[in-house]
Amino acid sequence: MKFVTLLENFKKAINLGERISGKNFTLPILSNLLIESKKNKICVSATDLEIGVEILLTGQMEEEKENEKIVVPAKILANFVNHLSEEKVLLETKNQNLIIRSGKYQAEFLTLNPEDFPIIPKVKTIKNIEVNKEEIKQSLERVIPAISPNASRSELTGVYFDLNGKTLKIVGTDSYRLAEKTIKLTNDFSEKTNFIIPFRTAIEVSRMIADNIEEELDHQNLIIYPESNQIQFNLGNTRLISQLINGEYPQYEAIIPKEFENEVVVGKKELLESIKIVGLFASRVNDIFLTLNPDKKEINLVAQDQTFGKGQTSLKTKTIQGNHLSISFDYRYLLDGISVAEGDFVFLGFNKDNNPALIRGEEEKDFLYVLMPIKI
Amino acid sequence: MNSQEIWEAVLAEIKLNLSKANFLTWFKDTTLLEVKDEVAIISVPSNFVKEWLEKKYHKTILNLLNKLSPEIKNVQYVISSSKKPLLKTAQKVKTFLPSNDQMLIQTTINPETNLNLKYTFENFVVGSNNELAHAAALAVTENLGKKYNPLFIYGGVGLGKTHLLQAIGNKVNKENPKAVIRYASCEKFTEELVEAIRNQTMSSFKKKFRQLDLLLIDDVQFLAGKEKSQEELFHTFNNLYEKNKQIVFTSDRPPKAISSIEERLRSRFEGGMIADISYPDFETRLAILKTKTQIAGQDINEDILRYIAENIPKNVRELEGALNRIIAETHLKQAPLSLEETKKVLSSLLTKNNRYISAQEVIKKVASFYDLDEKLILSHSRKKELVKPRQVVMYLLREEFKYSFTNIAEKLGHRDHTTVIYACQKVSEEVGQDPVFSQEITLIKDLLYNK
Repeated sequence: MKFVTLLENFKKAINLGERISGKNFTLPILSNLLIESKKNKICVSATDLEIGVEILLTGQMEEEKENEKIVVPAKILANFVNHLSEEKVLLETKNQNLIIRSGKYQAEFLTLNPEDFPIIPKVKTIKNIEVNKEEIKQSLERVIPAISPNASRSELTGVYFDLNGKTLKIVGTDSYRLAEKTIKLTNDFSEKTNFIIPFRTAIEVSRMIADNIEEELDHQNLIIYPESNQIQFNLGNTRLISQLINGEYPQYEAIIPKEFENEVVVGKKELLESIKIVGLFASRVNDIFLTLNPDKKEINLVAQDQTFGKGQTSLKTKTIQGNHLSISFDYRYLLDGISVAEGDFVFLGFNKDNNPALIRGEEEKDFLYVLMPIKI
Repeated sequence: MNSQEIWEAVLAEIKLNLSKANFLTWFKDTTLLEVKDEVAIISVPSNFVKEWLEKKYHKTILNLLNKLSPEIKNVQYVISSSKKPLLKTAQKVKTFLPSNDQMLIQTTINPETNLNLKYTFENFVVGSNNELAHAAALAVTENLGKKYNPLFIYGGVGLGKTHLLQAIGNKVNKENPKAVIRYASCEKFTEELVEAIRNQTMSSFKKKFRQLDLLLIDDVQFLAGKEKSQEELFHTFNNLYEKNKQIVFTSDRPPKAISSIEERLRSRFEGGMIADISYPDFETRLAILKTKTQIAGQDINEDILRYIAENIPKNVRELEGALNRIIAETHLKQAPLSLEETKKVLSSLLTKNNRYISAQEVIKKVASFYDLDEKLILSHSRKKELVKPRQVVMYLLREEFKYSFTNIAEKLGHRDHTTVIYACQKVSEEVGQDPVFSQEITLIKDLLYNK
């Protein structure tokens, strides 16, 4: 095999593969990448037996042996190509070794027996969901901060996808806060289903979209194939397959407040800044104390630690309705929620000081972030 | 041969021809589910494994199965952890309850009372070391506010004070759900008080604590030096006491031994019933371990339990820790541990206690505790302030480090060994009688072990 391709694309493929490849695993071959020649293209695969990925790369095939396979160590290959800066890269196989040339550098990689490399499963269903790639990427990025990948309940360590006809709800929670984003499908799925994808899969999918290899055809849609215990994501020439998390996602709808005794709209940037500064003074439990003052159209923020002192500020609201209310939150969770709200103004809805609060962008209808207060 | 035996035989055969890593990766958690219409159905943990077995080992597996059980003509692989079907009906588990708790999801902590439901009288192991405290606690639940008020339970770290305290609360709550109960650690009480002062909500703070039927305060020794908290607790106490409401305290030492606490509060602690929890004896420790293994649903060899009970003499929490470690190891190994393995697993826990401490070190620590020069302890002076520390050194060397009397006499400036015998007797008598002195000894031991 002798193959020339764009370095930029090769880098992206190798880096995605390297991230997926297994680490600290009993089976050493998992920390390698499989490179196959496939009719004028090459295919890079990696797996850790939970997630698997295959990336097809186009280029110029100068010599091809039918279905030639080589297995190369992922880490060193990625480190090598990341340092290169030419436009093109040449791959060549010689005596079972892989030679890579780019500019004035040449590397020869020893390989392992390709027969030992795991087979990456394929989905069988034809049913698929199509969503705009940018939209799902942003949605995942807004939901992921609410998840704790180390939660003791395995179903909470993943991102919940709830499909209902033409809409998809993407949900994450760590049981203290919850984020939900609703997006429209670009095709018609017309069925109800739901599944939980692992935390790491969600992160890799959003990165895969960010680092997508630009081909002649511009792929606007991510295509998702759900099956009963695995799921596949297709984007252009990249295919990512992952196990799903077994379990029943908690019925979270009931905790989302629908009506509010107190409603506040306030500048997002200003609020974030205030919380960051006052939050410096939060005690061990990270609590920050909010007081709504409708008469003065203000919110006061106070945080205090017994050992080092107290910080406070107040900020003018755009609109404020309801009564005087004092309520405490974990300031980091508050920051997480406000920073993922869209627009220049955020809406905050409160009820009693021990009921969950809701945060969203002022104009947003398809996103919400629910947060439990800290009880005093 | 049943299907399990068949599969075990197949695995044994495959194992011979594969590297261990390969075998573990692809054949772990596989089982032969059934043989139906000449087809053997193998359950596998994931799609990756399914794919690999189908492509790589299908022939081998089929041949081996066929050899062992000739009616098998084909093999099918299914994924075991098969999730609910894709299109499932809405049959939900109700876990996501909006509660007053900080969590969106309910925990075992009751938000109103702060009680943890896992502590009950049923899972409290009674032995000679704690039977008085246990009986008093039970009596309290039966005659709320009338029999022993206040009840004051004290004892060392990890002996079950909090367990008893919470058990009282849980039992009362169960039998009389209307009773207003509140469990607060001393720190929590102080924190709430500070919060109330800061937010100027003292009246609601007072109201919250004064409408209670049962107040449980954990670790009151931490009130030492916190005057405002002491004052508030004092008033709360008086208020509840007058109304015949039950109050229970716990502490790691008797009221007399809590330093810098106001006299009027101290005398109130002592006004009701004081019960102590001491270190569990061997039988109790063994009983505790047996109860815990039962709760964990694990079957552990009696010899191993005995070994743990023998080697962890004091702290019940450490006892549980050691047991949990054994249980975890057993899970990991998927086979019961032998006594030898147990010793190995626990060695890191045990060596901490058996750290070698020289006589010199003991003398040094005791001297520094009483703020004396080491040389003065070794001298032959009979000044009262020197005699006591010297006797403490002898006592510790004898009781804790098992030095012989003559050896101790030697080490402490060539005395007569009968002096040492007398000193040890005297100190152990005093430890039994004088709680303040006993506290001193505990503190010195802490100094010695927690370097």
